Amino acid sequence: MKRYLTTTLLPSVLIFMGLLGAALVVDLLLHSVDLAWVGRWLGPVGVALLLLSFLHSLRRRKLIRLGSPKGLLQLHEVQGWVGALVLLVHGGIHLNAWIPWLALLAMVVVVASGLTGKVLLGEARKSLSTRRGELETLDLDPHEVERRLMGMALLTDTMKQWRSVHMPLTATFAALTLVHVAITLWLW
Amino acid sequence: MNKSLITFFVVLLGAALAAWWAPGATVQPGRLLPAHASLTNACLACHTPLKGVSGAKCQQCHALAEIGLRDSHGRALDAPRRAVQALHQRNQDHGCTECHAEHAGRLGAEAAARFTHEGLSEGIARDCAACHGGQEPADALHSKSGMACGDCHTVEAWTPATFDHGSLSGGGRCSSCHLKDQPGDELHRGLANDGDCASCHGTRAWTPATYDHGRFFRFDGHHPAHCADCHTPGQGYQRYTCTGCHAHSPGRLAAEHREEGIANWQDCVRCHRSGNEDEAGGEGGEGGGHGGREEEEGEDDD
Repeated sequence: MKRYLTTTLLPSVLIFMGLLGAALVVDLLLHSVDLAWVGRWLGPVGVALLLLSFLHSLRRRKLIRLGSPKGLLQLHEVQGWVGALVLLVHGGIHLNAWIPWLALLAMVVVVASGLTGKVLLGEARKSLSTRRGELETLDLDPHEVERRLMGMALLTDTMKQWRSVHMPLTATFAALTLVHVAITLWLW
Repeated sequence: MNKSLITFFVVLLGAALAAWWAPGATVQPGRLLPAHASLTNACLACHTPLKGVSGAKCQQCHALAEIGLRDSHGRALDAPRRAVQALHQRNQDHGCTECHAEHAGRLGAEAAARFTHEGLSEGIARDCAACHGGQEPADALHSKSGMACGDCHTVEAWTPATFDHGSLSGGGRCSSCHLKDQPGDELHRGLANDGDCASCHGTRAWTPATYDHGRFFRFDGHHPAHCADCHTPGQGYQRYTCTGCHAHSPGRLAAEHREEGIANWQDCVRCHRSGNEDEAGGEGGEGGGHGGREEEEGEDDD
């Protein structure tokens, strides 16, 4: 249990807390050097980064053939974290209007959800690896091992369930962001 | 339709409706100033879709000709401010939002504090008098200077300012501008108004200054630089005496000079620019004719 906490859960918690802490530090720095106005222009940068992170989703659905799925997943994680940081600095700690604030909140929840998915994926892969080891000790035909592992469908099911939560959360964030951006441009 | 897509459109529709119903609470980026609070949910009173806030919309309430004289309801102000009116008249080519911030949320002063010269177009930015006309000091320096304000002053504050003396036409004396800067101490008192300031001071600052005492008397090991050894406090530094020391008793000096036929021996530095008693070089004669101080400067330059 302790090993699970330190090797699996703790890194994700640190990544999440690091995001909030980094946003506070950057915002404080900008204010201290009288550059708080820069935050206003970070909105488009953050949105662009998050849009780019969706290349992973497009690749996974085979809508594009660019890059490897694993590489794009790593890019998705990095761009998601950096994009969220930029948008947190953009929003600052100003409760001015509900829609942008809800968008920001949804984004933070999506990041937390993404990190949860990362933990679940790691755990599922670990379980599969353990099960494969067990099957291989039974002197089964390699094809039989693969067949039995496919039958477990552990990885697929776990990620499917997680995705059924992660994607609607992402859709909520995207819709709120779209309204915020559209109104900002309309009432420039 | 999949769950994510349904979620997207439901949230999109809900947020759009909320924004249309109560834009003040849902989308405005900060509260309006108290005077504009009634416009909180009337975005289009100021904003033109896709074009931003135009001065024309502001002037529907704030007539340009009346800014500083009347309020937005046309009522005369108790304390009309002509300078404010003039400032706005002169800057009517500029958008109101270049200086006045909204959605700042707190104080009116915050809006005024947003003004920066960087926002002005080049033409108006160079024409300081367009806004600051009448603020020019009536002193000698400013009335004589044909320079632009920006040559010395910055847009941050009037002071500190830099002044390039090299821009002045030749022939002027320092005291024509710096008369009141001349210290009243003993060192400077004797210089009067036509003192040659530049012989000690530079044009960048009064200090540090250099004073070449060697022009009058060079110090050596027997003559340490203690002012009071030769100068009497309160009498100015142009007066001095060499007879305050045991080696220069008046009787002995008089006798030694008499032997050389020199009668005018009291103005020692006229011939002796240092502690070397042979420096006069035997050029003495009746009446102390060693030559003037200026003549000797060249000769003593060893």
